[in-house]
Amino acid sequence: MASDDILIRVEDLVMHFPILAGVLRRKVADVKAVDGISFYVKRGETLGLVGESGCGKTTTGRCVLGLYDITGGKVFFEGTDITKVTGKGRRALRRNMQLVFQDPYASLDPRMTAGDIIGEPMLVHQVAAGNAYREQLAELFTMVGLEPRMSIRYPHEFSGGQRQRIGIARALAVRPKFIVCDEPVSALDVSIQAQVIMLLMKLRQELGLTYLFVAHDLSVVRFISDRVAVMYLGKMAEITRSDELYDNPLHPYTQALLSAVPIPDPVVDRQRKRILLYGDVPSPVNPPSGCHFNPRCRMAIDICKEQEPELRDVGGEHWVACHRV
Amino acid sequence: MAAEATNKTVISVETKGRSLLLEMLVRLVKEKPLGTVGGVIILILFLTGIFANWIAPYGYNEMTSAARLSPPSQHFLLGTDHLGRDILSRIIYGARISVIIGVVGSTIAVIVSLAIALTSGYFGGKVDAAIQRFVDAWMCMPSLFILLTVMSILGPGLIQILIVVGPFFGITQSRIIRSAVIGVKENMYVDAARAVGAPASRIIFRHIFPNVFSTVIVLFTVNMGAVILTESTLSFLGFGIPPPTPAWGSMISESGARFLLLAPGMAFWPGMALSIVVYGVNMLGDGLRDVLDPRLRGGLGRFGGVEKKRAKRREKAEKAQGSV
Repeated sequence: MASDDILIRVEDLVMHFPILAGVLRRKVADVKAVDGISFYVKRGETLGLVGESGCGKTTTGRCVLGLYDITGGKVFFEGTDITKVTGKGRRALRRNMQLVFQDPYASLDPRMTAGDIIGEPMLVHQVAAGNAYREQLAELFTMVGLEPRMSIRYPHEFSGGQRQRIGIARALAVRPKFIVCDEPVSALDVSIQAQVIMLLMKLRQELGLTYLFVAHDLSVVRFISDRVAVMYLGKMAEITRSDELYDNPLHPYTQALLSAVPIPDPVVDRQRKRILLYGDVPSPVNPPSGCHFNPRCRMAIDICKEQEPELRDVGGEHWVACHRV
Repeated sequence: MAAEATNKTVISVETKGRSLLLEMLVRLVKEKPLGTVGGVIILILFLTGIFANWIAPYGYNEMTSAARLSPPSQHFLLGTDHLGRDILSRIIYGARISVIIGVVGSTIAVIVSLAIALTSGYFGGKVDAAIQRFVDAWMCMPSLFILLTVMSILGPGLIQILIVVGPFFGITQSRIIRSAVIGVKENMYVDAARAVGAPASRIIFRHIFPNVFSTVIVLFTVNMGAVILTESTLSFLGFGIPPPTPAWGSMISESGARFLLLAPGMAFWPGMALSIVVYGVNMLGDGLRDVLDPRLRGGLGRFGGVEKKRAKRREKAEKAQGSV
């Protein structure tokens, strides 16, 4: 594959959060939120990132944007390692990579008007001023389906869906190439979810955006993503094209996850076999040895407890980290 | 503001046309009657201070030895003190000193507080630990001890009082703002600003400061009363404004307390004036806090009752027009 085709490449990303204790704030342990994952996102595609709560999805998204000081690994954006970039260079990078937040109620400053919120990135990066600024602002409002005259309103005067549109417009304000959508629809109700998803897809097409779409709703991810990555406890379990993932899941965790998706047809639903997972997700402070999934895996054998499975290509861009595949 | 907004054609985005200060004042009067009362009290206080020379019936040091400690009468509306000076005149002149001390002292205090709290709270970690240990040490010391030490070095006087009292209150109360800063800092919109690439200065001044402003205003109003009273304590101990210049604090605690049984008015009237001013400042502060918070804009939404009705009527008219 040509390397310029790839917009984002993540290699062995590790993000450990220290747990500090005592008067001296000594480090007693690490929360291994992301523990060595690798993936890439091709230009113009949407990579869905799924997994249950606490598996490191959001952390991964933020690490890619450089919002955390990562513990280890590399993140390449258009071929340059951005983990080494600091100061002004990093700010310039922020222009190319933006974030859409999960909670549209918390992520907008209640003291700023919608216009100020959406315009902030333009002012920070000195993209436009004066009339050009106002014109671009109006354009952004229209682009996300809001009216420019709403710009003097405050966030609390908008509905949840409208707020998320503001969040999206803010991310678009500096014309980034890459946007991390951190569960952009999970705080919205279903009818609004569809609208926002359609908006995101429309914008991707019009502006040639690349998304990393973090979510836990499998049907939403299937709808918007070209490829899907499944995470479990800070590790990558499986990455493949989204139709392949839903038709032919290879990792036992993915299989269990997919069998939990409700099917809106009681006849079909009754016929299929659910794969139930027992027990809880182990603590990311002290993950199990070998494959992180082995204590809950119905296919686990001895090697799973001892050796960590590599993420390997089983053909056709289908990557799985499992000893039994 | 609303009428212009809806009537303009929708091509470019709106910008806030009218001056924010004026808009704020209008809303204060419309939505916060109690805050307006506070504002009027403060305005009267300022005018009294400025025009004391014309308002006061007597000079502040004009003694009528025949009428010492006299009760309120036709000549002396609030009575006289132990030296036969008109209490009303002294209160009117005292407004000057009290206003200056209250406003300037409290402003200095709030600025010092903000400087400490914003750096300490926002940057956190080692910066925070270092600054807060200093604040701890400061708070450990008995307040009067510090005040008297510094005052005895600087000597008595108005400017000296401001230099001492302002930063003193500022350092002690910085912790209140700091905790507000820490609370605001954890909000998602601060993360969002960081993700956008905003520098720390912008995050502090555009996102954190406006969101801790209500705390700042409350602190300012509380400080104002406290600062005026501290001046009286210093005056009582002989480190304040040197006599015979009248200041409310010294009128209450110095001579007022001494003659409390003979002429209660000597302490009562300046005390009353002080209470009214502190009340006024508090009410104005509360009103301003609510007006400044876009989430608390009146019980009827963004505009007060009348505006709301007008907006509704306009909306109806527009709809009717649209359907034709």
